[in-house]
Amino acid sequence: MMKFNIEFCLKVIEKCISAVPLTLYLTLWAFIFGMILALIIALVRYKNVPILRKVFQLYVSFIRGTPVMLQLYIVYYMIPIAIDSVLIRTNIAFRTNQIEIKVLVLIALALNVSAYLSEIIRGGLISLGKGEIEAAYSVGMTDSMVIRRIIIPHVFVLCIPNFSANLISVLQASSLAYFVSLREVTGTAKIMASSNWKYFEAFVATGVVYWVLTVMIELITYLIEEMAKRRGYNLRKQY
Amino acid sequence: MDQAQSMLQAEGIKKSFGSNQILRGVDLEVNKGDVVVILGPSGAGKTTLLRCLNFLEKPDDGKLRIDDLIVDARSSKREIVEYRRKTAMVFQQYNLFKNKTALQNVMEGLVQVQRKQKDEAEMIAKEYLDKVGLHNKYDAYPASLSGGQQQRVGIARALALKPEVILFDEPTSALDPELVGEVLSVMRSIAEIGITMVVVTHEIQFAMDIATKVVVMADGEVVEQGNAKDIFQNAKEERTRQFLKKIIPEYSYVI
Repeated sequence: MMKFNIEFCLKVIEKCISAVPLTLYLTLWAFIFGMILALIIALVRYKNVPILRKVFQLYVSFIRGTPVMLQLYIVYYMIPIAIDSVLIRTNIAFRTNQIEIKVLVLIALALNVSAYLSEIIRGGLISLGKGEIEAAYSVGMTDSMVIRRIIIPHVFVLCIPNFSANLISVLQASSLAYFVSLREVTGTAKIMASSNWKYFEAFVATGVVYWVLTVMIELITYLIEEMAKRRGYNLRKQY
Repeated sequence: MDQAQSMLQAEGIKKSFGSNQILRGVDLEVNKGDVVVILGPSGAGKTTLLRCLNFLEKPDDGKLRIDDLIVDARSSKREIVEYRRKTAMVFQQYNLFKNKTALQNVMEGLVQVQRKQKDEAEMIAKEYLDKVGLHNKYDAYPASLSGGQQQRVGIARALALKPEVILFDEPTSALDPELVGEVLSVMRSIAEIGITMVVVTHEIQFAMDIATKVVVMADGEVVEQGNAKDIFQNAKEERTRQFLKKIIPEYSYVI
């Protein structure tokens, strides 16, 4: 009968905490870049821009239809090879192996989350009543003013709960980075366990760390929601 | 009528939604200081016409002119924005910016569109909120205001922009009956100071009292137009009489 080695588990937790910055780096940057891309995708699809709309539709379908793992491998293995094969024919000295691994991982995560976020934003756009948008046009705003002043603030507030859920998903998905040898939280735990085969203790340790991080995200979400409520946004009622 | 005064002109406005033709070539002329009231049975295309006048709906055919600026379906976005800035709209559902206070609602267009300094915009916004009787509601959010108060904010928002013409789309239709009066009295007071207005409404008394011109629409066309007395007492067209009979119970006796 194997006994749960709580001492080792605590040791792994301690070590994992020092890897939290890398995990947060991956999560937050992936989320931010994903959000920017998602906004573009959602607006293109909402406004029915010809051709681009179809391209993004296919993109969203592909990303949501395949595992993050595959996307990570494509970004990590395939795309660098493709880019290098082009670069080698030019006299540009840059090669993709100069890109840090963590940057490739965050690109993969950003691409992944952008598809999900774009659908959330699109849903928000659709649910946002036409009334305020029309009022904005009627006071003489241009398209870009309407997007900046009305659509973005509103839709983003409406979407806070969904965004929060997706940020948490990215956090968990960032654990896949250990497959490409990054020493973030999961990678660190796995390396420690490989010396004594106490994988269960090690992964329980990562669970604790991820859970704490998740609770922190939930807490921040709550604070943002409260702030939005004080500014007159009604989060309970969908417009 | 003096042609030089003509300020807003719509010519041959047509609009279809799918195979459903809502406007079949509407002409409308509004002079400076006019209060034009558009009446007609539901489905006549009144609201659609008003929305075309603001270019919230793009007319399929026809021309719109305010002062020297002419726009049509082929106009560029910039021309349309420029045209729109000469108009303002008051909506049936108020359409206030829900995350902004009454004051911020009025300031939004002044700051963003007219590029006024914040303190100047605030002064103007307060002046117009005072005008519609909301001097104690500057910092209230729409959700905490009654329908009548919200609509008055909507009117202040339109007035503050100093447009050439304000378009009212059934401004009292969504209000509880006891709140209609306060909105109409604000509209009366701004009509009296000479603001040019185009109003779609079902408030016949209001139309009789302050309209300088009444336009009756039916089936996507202008059936008849003239001053209030002509329309209400000597309607020439059968369709006008039919309509008036339905909305004014004692109409048959008026004749």
